[in-house]
Amino acid sequence: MIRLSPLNQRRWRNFKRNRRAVWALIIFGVLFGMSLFAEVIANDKPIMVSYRGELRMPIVSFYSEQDFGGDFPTEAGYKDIEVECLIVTGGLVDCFDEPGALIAAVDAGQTLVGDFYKGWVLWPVIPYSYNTIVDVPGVAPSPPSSDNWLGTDDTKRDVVARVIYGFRLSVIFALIVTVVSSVVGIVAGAVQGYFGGWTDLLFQRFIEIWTGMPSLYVIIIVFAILGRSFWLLVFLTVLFGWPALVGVVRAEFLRARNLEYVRAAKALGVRDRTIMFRHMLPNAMVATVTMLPFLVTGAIATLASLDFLGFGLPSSAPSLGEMTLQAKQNLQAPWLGFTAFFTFAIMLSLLVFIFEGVRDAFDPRKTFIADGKVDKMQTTFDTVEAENR
Amino acid sequence: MGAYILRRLLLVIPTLIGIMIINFALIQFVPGGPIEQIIAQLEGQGDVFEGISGGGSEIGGANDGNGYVGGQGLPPEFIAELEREFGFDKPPLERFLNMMWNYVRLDFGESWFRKISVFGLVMEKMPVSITLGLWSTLIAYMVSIPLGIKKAVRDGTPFDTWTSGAIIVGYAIPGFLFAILLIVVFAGGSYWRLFPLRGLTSANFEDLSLIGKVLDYLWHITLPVLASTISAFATLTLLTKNSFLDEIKKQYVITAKAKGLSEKAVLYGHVFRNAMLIVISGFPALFIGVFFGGSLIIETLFSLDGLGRLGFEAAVARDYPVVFGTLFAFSLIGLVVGILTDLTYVFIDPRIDFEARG
Repeated sequence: MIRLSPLNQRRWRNFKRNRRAVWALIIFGVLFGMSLFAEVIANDKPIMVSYRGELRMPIVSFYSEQDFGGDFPTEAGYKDIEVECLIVTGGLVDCFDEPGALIAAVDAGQTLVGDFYKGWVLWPVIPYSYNTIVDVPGVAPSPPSSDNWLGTDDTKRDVVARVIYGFRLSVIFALIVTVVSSVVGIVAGAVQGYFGGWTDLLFQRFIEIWTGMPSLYVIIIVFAILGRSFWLLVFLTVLFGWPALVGVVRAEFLRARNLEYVRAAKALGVRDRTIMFRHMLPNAMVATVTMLPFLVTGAIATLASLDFLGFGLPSSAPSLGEMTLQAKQNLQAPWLGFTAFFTFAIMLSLLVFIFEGVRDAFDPRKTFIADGKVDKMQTTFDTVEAENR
Repeated sequence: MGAYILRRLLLVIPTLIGIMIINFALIQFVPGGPIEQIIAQLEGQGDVFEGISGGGSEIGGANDGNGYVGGQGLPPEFIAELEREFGFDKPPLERFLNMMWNYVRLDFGESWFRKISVFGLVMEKMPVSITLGLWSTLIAYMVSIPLGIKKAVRDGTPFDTWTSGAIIVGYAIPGFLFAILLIVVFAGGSYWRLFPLRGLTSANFEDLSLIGKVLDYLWHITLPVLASTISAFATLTLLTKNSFLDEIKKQYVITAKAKGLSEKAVLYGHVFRNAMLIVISGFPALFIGVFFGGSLIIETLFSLDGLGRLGFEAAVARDYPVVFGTLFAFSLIGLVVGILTDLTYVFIDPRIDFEARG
């Protein structure tokens, strides 16, 4: 267990006092924790198979059909009734003739003649992965059923499985983008505000030029040249996302650079870097943390919009934005639209509530208030507005 | 003050030139220009656009780095003629200087693919942008200011907490998701088919009576305006609330209450005009937002043809005059509005002094 400093203990207490944030954190933690194990929850391969007394885990290892007594050296199609029969009977040759009858017999507890060895298959809760083509009759976006709880999308992939994988992907994307662009933005804002003068003037112009670039266009171009990938998209989002924090950090540093403690540190001959990051940054952190809820949700929204426009992740990725596009293209399938909306709504609300709690916990104006009711949004919008000025 | 304004205005020039240089350079190095687009069409490969809107395939053809030599199947004289027509026979620097000189004289040229001036093209898209901008701004102000005042008066109550939660969630969820929900529920046909799916007016708009026209217009814009308004409440409501909270604590409010004025008279007669100053200072930006607001995705979802779509389609089709013309004009407007906003702050609250800071 890490020992927290008294200040951090106080922050933690403050965070816990915000019940909405605590509940959001718990719910989000459970959802995200579960989605981290998406492969075990939603997969088109069984978690575990017992074949002739030997335990095998198809979700981690490769087994050919031959390994189960079949004909092909390719990966076993666990969904095929023949393969299922081979597993539960221990590889009886009769499985190729009448698999259904044999499975029924095994289920009924009969012992079969020949080289019989009873086996079993343990499936994940959702027996589809995000890219599994579901074998159901009917036209492509098929409605919710007992097999596909939220129906399928227009290429017959299970919506629940896609939501689970897409949720994980969106959250991981948002967290990476937020952390990296915060670090870059803080350093840039700190340098700008601390040195002021010409540095500040030139840097401001640079940021004006930078934000004047049509980012969507650049993303399209770069993808056309380099191909799409998750990390390239992370890089590009950071590339256009970091100026978001520069304004507030710069303002804090501009304000603090003439304060006594900074002058004292300078007079003592402390290095610029130490003054900036050890002495001034903790004071600028509040402004930074204030922007956090919107950095996180902004990153998710960016990913969703790009996917929606068809310029986001590779088309094979489990993308919630793509589901939104499908919802628009298949208005006869309302389950797609509802799923997309509520997945985003729940994910973004939880994140906003959590990071609001974090921000309040870090706010020195509130850290030392015992029980005062303070508006939670106030600081955020003070800063957002200051930024807009 | 004059010196400050002058300095700010002078700084606009290098910034604007910087924006143009970066974007011009960017486009020089990128494969797939308007000539490839035409060649692709002529060789029957369909247009480059299709590959993009189809989602996924590569943009454009090969480019060996000096001029356009992408179309091996076409006679070289024809390609040379195309290059001349688009001005690609001149060196990039000359093209850039020509372009900038034209822009300085506010001559934005003509679209390459439609025989219409860039200015005319922007004007053509204005109805959609004004519709979205004007109505969503109006609704946002009509809801946010009373709500903000109410929240300030009832600060700390459950009402305050829950409305804060609701508007913050509305702010966090991107507008196009609300749009999808609205379309599925109210226009998709699975539940209700109350509102139309596309366009700003019906096909028979010309034949309708005046009242019919107004109703038809309102009927078409309800969903898109709603979708683009939801996220707009948060900033304004909380801004109003905070500035009211600040004002309510001041001495003159106590005085006004002490002399027996009603709560309403105090709030609207005294506090309102002071608290609203900060809101008013956002007006220059607001004004521009009303005219040039546009969201690519909302416009796409509701099949509206506005500025968001214009920029996107011009970029994808490589219609450079439109890309650079709008980039220049909107960057210039944006920079000037930034200055105007700062000046409004000073005008409203003379204690703010931008010259003294830093």
